[in-house]
Amino acid sequence: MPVVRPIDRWFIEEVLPFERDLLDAAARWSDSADEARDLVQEVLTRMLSTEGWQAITNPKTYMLRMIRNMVIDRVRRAKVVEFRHLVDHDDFDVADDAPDQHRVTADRQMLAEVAEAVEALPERCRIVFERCRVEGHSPKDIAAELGLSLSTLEKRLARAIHLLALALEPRRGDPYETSGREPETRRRLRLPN
Amino acid sequence: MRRSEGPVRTPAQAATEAATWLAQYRLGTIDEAAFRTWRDSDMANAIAFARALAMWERVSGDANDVVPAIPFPMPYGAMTSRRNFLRTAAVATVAGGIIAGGVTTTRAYAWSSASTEVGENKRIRLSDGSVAALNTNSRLSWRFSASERTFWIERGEVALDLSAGAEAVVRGDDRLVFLSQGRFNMRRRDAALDLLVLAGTARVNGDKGVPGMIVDTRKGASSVLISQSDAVVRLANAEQVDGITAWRHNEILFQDATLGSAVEEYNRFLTRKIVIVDRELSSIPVGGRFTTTDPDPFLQAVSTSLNVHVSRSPTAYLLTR
Repeated sequence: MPVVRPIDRWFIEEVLPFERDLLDAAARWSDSADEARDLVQEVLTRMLSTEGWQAITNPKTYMLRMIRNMVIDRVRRAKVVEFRHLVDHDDFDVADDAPDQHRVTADRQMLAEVAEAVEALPERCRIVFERCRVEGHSPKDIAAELGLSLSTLEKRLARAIHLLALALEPRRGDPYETSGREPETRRRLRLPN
Repeated sequence: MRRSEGPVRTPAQAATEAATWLAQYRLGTIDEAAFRTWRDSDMANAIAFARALAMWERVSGDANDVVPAIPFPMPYGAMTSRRNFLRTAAVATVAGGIIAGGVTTTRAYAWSSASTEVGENKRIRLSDGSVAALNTNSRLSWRFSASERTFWIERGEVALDLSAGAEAVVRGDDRLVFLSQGRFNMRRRDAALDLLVLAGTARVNGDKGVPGMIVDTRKGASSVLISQSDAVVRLANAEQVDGITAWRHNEILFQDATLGSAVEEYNRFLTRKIVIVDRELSSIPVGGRFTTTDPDPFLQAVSTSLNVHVSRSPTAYLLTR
């Protein structure tokens, strides 16, 4: 089985782009950002382990329904039912089939964020990343050119990937509590203190 | 595949490890068996890896491309009308006589195709999980069966990110090229095919006394120009690879080019063509990176740095001394 399976390709292209929509939906019914994140993580887990993924015609609607059902389950099990939990569930029954324009705009915004995130990398990581993102360099050549061992190259690239993934992680429009996030980025954001 | 026993991992732990796996995957140092064990041990790992890969592809410019126009095949009962449309389109392709050689077109064995107009590009996910990107003014046809995946670049340029699966064959006019799982850029130049192997292996079959050959990336990316009489292999250095693949980022890159060749390259993307009126301008050396979607900065650069006069007519940009 290859490193990147067909289901991964599908997951990357048809599921992950809607993560922010999922977060928005989950946040409407959650008491905390952590709970919303858990809900979304659970949805992603189910999507990436489903055997019938090829049959899912509209992943976004499918996932929003899944969240709704999970929320309803939780509400039923909860001892104290908050009123807001019961409002606007019907929203989800309206299929949203017009995401494309939204996605195009989001993609553009994404490009700006990407440039910013790359710029913000520590220089050593950024140099390695820039060399590796262009296809066709052999890792040995890059390592030799930068005067690094292959293992150092690997570590710096991994660090760059990690920092970029953190910086570009989908989050809600409003700044919100991010207790589950890595401490290092939070430290960096607070540097002026 | 559900979460196995053991402590539940946080997404943050998984993300750190996924970054290392992806770095190793990109550098070719990954131990695939160990990776699979790690991925299959916890869904949080699988998600983290997909997330890191998605980030990588976005950052490497893939998100720039057009949202795929063709959906995955939906093998279960209810087909969408779009799917039916595609099938009709595939049959229409055959009826249009694009495929020679007595191909039978059963439903599972029909050709599909996609094309782009001048100035357009498009990214398509194929039913086997492969991804094809079409550059300006290009047309790709493909046909998948259980035992073979056949591609035909009818015009233009196509980048193929080929997943593992049945044997993949690119049909040229006379020669066949067999591709392994990997990444390839293929540009049609008249009757020849210019193939850049970025990852994986390409095998060109022999023909009429011309020996076959294998092109791989052990010494780095290689390109091979395949024509009826010949197959010429050249190693491609990083700059050349960058130049060849620049279109994936809607860019056009001139290195050690002449104004003549730069204009020829730019015109692939333009409906309003650039015309060099005074021929001696053609040999002026130029270099630079420009966007394919807007020739103005290029013309501006030509005008100011080369002291070339640019006039605009409704159908062309005219370059004079």
